[in-house]
Amino acid sequence: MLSIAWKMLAGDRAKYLSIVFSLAFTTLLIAQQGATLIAIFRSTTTFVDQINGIDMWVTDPKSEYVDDIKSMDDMAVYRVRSVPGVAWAVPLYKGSIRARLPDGRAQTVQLIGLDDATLIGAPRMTVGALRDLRVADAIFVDEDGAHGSLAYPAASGGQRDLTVGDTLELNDHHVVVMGKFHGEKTFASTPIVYTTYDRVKAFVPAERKLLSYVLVKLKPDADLAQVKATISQYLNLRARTKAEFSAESLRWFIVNTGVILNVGLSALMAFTIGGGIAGMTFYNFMLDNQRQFAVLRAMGASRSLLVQMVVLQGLGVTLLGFGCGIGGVASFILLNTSSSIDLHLTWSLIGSVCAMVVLVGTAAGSLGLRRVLHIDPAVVFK
Amino acid sequence: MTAVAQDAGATISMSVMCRGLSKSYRTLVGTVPALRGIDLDVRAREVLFLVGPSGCGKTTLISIIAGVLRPDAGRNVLFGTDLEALSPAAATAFRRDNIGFAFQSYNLIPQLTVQDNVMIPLLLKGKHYPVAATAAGVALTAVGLGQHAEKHPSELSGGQQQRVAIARAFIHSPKLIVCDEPTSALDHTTGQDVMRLLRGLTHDRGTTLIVVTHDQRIYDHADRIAEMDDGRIVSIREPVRSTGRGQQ
Repeated sequence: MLSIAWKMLAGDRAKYLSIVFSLAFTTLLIAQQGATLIAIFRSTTTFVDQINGIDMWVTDPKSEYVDDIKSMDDMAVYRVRSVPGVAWAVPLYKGSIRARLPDGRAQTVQLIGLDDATLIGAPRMTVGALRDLRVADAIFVDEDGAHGSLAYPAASGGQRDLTVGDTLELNDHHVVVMGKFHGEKTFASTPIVYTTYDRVKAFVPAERKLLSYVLVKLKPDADLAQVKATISQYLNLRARTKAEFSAESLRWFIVNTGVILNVGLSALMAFTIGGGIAGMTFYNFMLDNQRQFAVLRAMGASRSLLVQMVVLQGLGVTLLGFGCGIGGVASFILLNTSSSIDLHLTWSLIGSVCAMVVLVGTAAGSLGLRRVLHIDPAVVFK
Repeated sequence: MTAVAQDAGATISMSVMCRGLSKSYRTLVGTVPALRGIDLDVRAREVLFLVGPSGCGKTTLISIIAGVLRPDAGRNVLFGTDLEALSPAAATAFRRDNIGFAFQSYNLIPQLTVQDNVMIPLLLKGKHYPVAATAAGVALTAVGLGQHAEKHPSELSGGQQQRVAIARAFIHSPKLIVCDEPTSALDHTTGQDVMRLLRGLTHDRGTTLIVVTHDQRIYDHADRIAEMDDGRIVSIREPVRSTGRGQQ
């Protein structure tokens, strides 16, 4: 009888397609908004998350989140190194600077300065080797920047990707591209340029304080809490673990921007409108088929069988709509490579969206089921 | 089957035995009695017509006999089983196993093919789809619609749809078939064809048939006619046979 139940639903093409389309639309919008939100969150903390092998980030005490850079004096590195329990500490710069291309175009880029000796915090290289950063005037450029706003003037006219050996100017300082790396797309979508910390000091306009962060590795037997307390109490700096810094940065972003509200509203509207349409259509299907269910009831279909039939119909269209919607989002993400941020369709997001869509299907099915279970089989004679 | 003493002292097995059936409906203007203490016996393999003016209680009576409506009072015994003593679930199972239905508006499921419609009673009894499909093919051939198995009901004429409904009613070999106005939507010739088909299948399979009808043109297909008025059976008689009766 379950195959009959499915044929009853699928045979009513208009309603069947309408329900599947509504649920697919709901899934697509919620998943797309969710993927966007995750991408925004990731881009907020990606700078912290991608640097591995350290135990703590030390910043100015007033620095609330990763991009709230309140520069410190270079001496801060030496003072942190003097704290008991610290194995090593290196400087890290993060700021922006204007890059000028040979054809005169100027582009603001995000400049990262790594410790000259260790290159701690280096990106994942796609072209060139990390050691090439030690070549005079060397920089690394992210692939998206090299392909996009830092595209180089081609000899034959037009533009080509910036590549190893190309030169440009950073604040009137001559630099050479020695490698490219894969950088996570950020919300700001500006090109990212890596060089060494000492070179940064030459490139950026003269400032008394340039140091953005101190990256710290603890000794194996060091007490993390004790080191943090010491840095705070005696150096008047703020030390946070990678997880803490990432979480606090994300929390600041959520609290101080309207991103959750905006994306959440869009997802809620998708859930309400798409789910409402699907629910009402499924309910109408139940109303339209009330007599058919009454006939089945008269002919001896038990209540539990009717429940199974409605559950199968509800679950079937729900999963079909969900599958189409998720497929649509996945296709959108795969095809839309030029997006300013990397959309992320995580398993947890897929699971959450599935739960929401199943909730819509369950609500619609429950309303319809209520009608079906209250059917009086005697209506077949009326 | 129930055996009841007859006037001559012989016994005739009964398919349906109704005693003191009463049923009232609540309406905006008060309680309206639909049945007022109906006593009715239907013999095994008999074709009984329930006739009478609109609102006399025919549909209520057939609904109670078929077990889809509960009376306010009285007993409704089908093949020795008192339906009013059964739980709702047991009554549903009893209907599934023992009763076939044919309705005035056919009540075929429009989204399904003719074959799928016909096999439903077998699927409800737990038969596997291929078995039910094969049986449906045989049943459709028996009603002359073997070549229409893959069509949808909307592609058939009214008479053909009623034949499909009859095939559905008979496919699981029920002991009792109840028909509500099976010919009212059909022209005379088609109505006669449908009744001949119904009688033939009933005769061949030893099924009891109860037909609610207004259609006097088909009265001579009945073995007996129970005439109702105002919630009572006012007479039970044999039909006046016309020449060329379709009875087998």
